[in-house]
Amino acid sequence: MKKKITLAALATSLMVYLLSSCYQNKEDILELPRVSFRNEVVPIVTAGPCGCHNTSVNVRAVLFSDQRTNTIFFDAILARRGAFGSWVNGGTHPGAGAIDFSPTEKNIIKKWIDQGEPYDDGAGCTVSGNLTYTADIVPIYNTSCKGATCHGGIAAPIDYAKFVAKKDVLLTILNSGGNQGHPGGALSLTTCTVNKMKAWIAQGQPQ
Amino acid sequence: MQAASLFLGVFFLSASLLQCTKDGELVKNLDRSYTGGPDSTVYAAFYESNTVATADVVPDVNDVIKMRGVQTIIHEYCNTSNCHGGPIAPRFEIYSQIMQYVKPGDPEGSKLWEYITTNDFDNAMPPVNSNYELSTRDKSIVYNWIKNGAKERPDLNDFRPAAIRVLVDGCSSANCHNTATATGGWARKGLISGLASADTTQFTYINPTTGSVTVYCQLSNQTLRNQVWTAYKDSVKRFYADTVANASFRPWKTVSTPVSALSTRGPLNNYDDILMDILYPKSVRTVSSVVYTDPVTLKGYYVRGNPLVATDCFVRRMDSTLIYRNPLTLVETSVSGNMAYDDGGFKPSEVALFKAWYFADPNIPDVWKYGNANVGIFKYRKTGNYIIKR
Repeated sequence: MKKKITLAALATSLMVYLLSSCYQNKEDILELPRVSFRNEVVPIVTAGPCGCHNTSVNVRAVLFSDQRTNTIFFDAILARRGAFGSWVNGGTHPGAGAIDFSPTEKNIIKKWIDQGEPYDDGAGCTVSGNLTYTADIVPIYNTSCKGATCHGGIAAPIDYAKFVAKKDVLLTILNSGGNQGHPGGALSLTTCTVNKMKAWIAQGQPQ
Repeated sequence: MQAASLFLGVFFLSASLLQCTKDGELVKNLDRSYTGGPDSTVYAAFYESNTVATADVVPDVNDVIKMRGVQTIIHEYCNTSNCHGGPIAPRFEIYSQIMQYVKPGDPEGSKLWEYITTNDFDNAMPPVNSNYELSTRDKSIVYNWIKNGAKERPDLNDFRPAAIRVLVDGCSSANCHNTATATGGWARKGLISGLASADTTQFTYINPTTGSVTVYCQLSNQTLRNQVWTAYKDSVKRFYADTVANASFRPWKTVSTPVSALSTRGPLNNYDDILMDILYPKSVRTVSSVVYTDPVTLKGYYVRGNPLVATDCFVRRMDSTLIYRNPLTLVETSVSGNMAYDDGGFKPSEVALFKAWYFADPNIPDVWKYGNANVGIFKYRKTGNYIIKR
């Protein structure tokens, strides 16, 4: 009898131990999911409060998306990570005006910037075939580099000749994901853009 | 045997108790808390889809607000087939089930909120080792939905702050409908005595698509521009509050004419600005010819006496599914919606949000919603049905 009680007690103790072990693998949990660029940041800047950047009919600002074709220009958004960073820390929208991110949006953008890398900018795109300046690089330039406070505005425009002459600078920028080499400060570039521009350079920068 | 069993029993019991309170080195960095506070401008509804009260018989494209809702969030995170949507109780499918864990108005006192934000591993939901965690955006929707009363369907208190925020930020950006640009334009045109171009800051905008260059001015001094704009608004309100008494007074300045045919966009910096634009549309405050000449000063005024003769209005510029007709003459105007589609880049859900707010807001008189005697001034293009008060 005593032996049975002892065994039962032992079995119960073991069960308690096992059942309470749901979170035994705590050391596996390194961090919580980070702020998603695509699911949290992009919706902020492609919504109505940033409407001027999302019209495509009567363009008044650098476009973040094209409503008609339902296209999002991730590069153009990523490239302005620095501007968003200064804005959520007391800066103002370029060109003045009375707009601001809401407190909730600031909270999300701050967390996104604080976490470092852009995160989930996509695995890139398949780059194949022959790339040309006119067909492949100009569209990137128009959406990611051009603007009133960027190239073609307060900074000099970049044409084909300059892209060729400044190939080394461009490579430095691309190889660092935009963090180094850009005279106007750090950029953020999508994996797709980096891959495409590097492939174009590797092909000899055809016009 | 007995001693060994006793030892093992004590060991397992102690181990289980100790591990429950264990803080691992790596775990201490976890933080599930929500750092944001209440934000009434976050549109936070229970259902992902809400049809506006004035929708056509078959809701048109701008009649349905489709924005991420609490039910969808809870379904995604909790109601999966291997959890509360499957073998594990309780269920979180419908409003009444979810409300068992919600204290309306009090997120911090709600079990639902506690589960999704606590750092207590044993109470956290979804379980922290599931690597499944509500995003900051989703937490803000759940938080503000509870804070705003955890209603099954949104009402004016949800529509208005969210709609005004989208409108203010969407319309008053850099060189558009803001006080700085309007007053800067007036100063540049010499409409404000004592002020000139030198009092403004110039901005150059280069259109990235066409390369066209626009230079615009903003009055640099914020105090001054607020004074100028407030004085203008007061003059408009005073005039239209009693046009007979103020017949020779007229609004302080017209928006643009007669100095230039170019329009200086009217500010939409806040709710009051938007209301003024609805009640006294720009098409009556600024017209292209002299409507009234002061018999004493012989000064010409480019403003109409009755705001209801407006040929254009807020809803017409926002919603391309509706045809507007003048409340007095009942003459129809062309369809527009250009401020939503061409300029503002508003999405159908946002236009629906504007409509939900507009027709629910008691500060907007019925005549600007349904016309005189409820005859209707907004007609659905597809069906010809007028929006009337029911």
